[in-house]
Amino acid sequence: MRLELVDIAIVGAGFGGAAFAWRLSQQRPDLRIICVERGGFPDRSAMPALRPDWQRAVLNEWATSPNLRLKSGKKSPSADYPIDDTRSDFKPLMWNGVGGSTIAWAAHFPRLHPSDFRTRSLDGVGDDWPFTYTDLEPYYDLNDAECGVSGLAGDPAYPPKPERVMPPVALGRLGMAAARGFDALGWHWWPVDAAINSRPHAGRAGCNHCGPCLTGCVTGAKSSTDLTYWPKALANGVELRTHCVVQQVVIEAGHARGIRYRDASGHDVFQPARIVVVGGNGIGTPRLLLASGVESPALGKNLMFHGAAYARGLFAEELDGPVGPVGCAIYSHEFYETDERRGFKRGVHLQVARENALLLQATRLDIPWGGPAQQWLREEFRHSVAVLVCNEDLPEAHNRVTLADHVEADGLPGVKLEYRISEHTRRSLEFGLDRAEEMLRAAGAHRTVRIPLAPLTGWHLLGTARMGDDPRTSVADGSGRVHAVADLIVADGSLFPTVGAVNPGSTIGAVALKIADDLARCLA
Amino acid sequence: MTNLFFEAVVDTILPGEDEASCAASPLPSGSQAGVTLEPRNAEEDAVLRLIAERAGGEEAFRRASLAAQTAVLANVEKERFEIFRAIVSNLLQHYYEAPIVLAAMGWREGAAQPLGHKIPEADEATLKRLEAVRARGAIWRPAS
Repeated sequence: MRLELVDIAIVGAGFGGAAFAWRLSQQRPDLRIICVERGGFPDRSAMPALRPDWQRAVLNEWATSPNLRLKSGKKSPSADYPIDDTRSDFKPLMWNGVGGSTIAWAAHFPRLHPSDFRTRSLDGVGDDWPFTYTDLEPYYDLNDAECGVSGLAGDPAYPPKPERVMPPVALGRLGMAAARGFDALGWHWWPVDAAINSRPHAGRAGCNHCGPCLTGCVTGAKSSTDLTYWPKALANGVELRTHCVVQQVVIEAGHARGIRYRDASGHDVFQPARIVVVGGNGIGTPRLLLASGVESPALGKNLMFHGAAYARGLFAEELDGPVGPVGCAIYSHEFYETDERRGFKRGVHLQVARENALLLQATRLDIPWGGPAQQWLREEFRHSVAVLVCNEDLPEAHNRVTLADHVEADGLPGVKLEYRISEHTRRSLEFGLDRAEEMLRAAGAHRTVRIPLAPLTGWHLLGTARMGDDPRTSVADGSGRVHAVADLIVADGSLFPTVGAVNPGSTIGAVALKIADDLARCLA
Repeated sequence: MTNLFFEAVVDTILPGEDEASCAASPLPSGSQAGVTLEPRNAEEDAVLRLIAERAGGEEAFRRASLAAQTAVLANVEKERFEIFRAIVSNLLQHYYEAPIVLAAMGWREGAAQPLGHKIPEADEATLKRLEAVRARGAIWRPAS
């Protein structure tokens, strides 16, 4: 079936696609914009937090990994496809549906630092972005305003940011204990920026700290693009087609001409479009572009997560237990910027995380059964503080996304990851873990343990369609335009040339807004 | 295989805490918490039969000390890791959602919503610490 020509066809209704759709529809209301999404809208009335057996959902149909969701055999609201991650040290995590991974994220919302955009010039590693922090700053501010950010202005780790519209999410006893530790050492700490309402805001409730942020937010206190950008984009006239799986970007004579997709009824549909915009993030985007025959030496390469490890401290005092928001309390950027004396370039982000639910923590123990496991849980439950150590993963061409030889049930070629942790990451994480344990002891922990690598943290899928000026080493330019194919744009995390050491959501949204404005100017 | 054998396996995996433990509310064993075991597929069935075989029979497993039972399970875990851990995971899911277990751990049973939880905002001492951080000045690295 061939449909009528539209101006813009967007693939994927996650953070990038949503922010782009809203901004372009606001700037150019005359354009006919459609978005095609493989999943549907989340149903908040069916989310696990409303059920007594909510804890087990994160091990089954609401697992963070699409592979685990598929393996559970339970019907998941996420429209998943398997990913061969057997050759990847980190396991890819994502949510497939309207809102993308913002449905299941922790909504920790830091920005990159100015230096993150200039790693080649400053430190001789990675690559410079085609624009600076200053160029992106107005879009960070706009994205903050649209998503709703709780936090506190005045953080000395960043250039000045506008007043946050809500005060920080409650630190809890856990956050205050960690603050005590950072303070004793004279290190930086600050309440996180969180895309979570600490008070009722923008028609959404304030967070009541229920705990299971990663299995969707029942109250809508946590920002996700099905609640923020999409209602506004739809009101602007954007058409969103759900449960439709794009099979191919149709390319003729070097130009994108539209998309071919399988609709909810299984019919093959051709949607002609003047411009195609892909927002499938670091795996979905290269999978589709490679399957569509886009030829670019860098496509699929330079996959970056963030190196991730944990240190946990056990305290005699009673803390908060498994309450939310799970990823949002306080953080430290004392060691974020390069210090050559450490033996590695760039830095680490120390993020104080709240306790896991009892069941999840039980399953994460090395030996999760028997008396010692139960004794350990008894000792740590409501008495532990975890510090997530993230480092700046650097681009390496051998870390990549490729297509498999077989076709998956969704009609697209299978997808494979190859990713090996670098010596740089190992050294950075070791350093970060040492500092995290130091802080925990200073805060009063009587015992600390380290989890030297946390494989199930691969939310940040970045770098596989990187921006740059040179078509030999990059896939797209600074406006997301694919070098090799005219009228084809990328608007998601796959564009990142480097990734800093912090969560990318805030930057994905800001970049997508900038790309929409660049296109609007171009079309004027 | 008998229910008594299954119960013994459950209580080896989840032995709970005895009354002499320092906990105000000792954790119940798996069977005391109402957790039951039934193989969900042929692979799990085979692993459970292997446990019985390695112990010298179901009855011998039941009569063995907890230390001996644990040693049998640890050996079977080494041989059939994935299936054994699947059995464990299934039992943990029932156990750590049981109201009696949550109560013993001092936590609330039931859905996470709509009640949520109350957690404290930053106290005065913490806010003072924050002022000290601010006073130390900018630590970000300029880059243009």
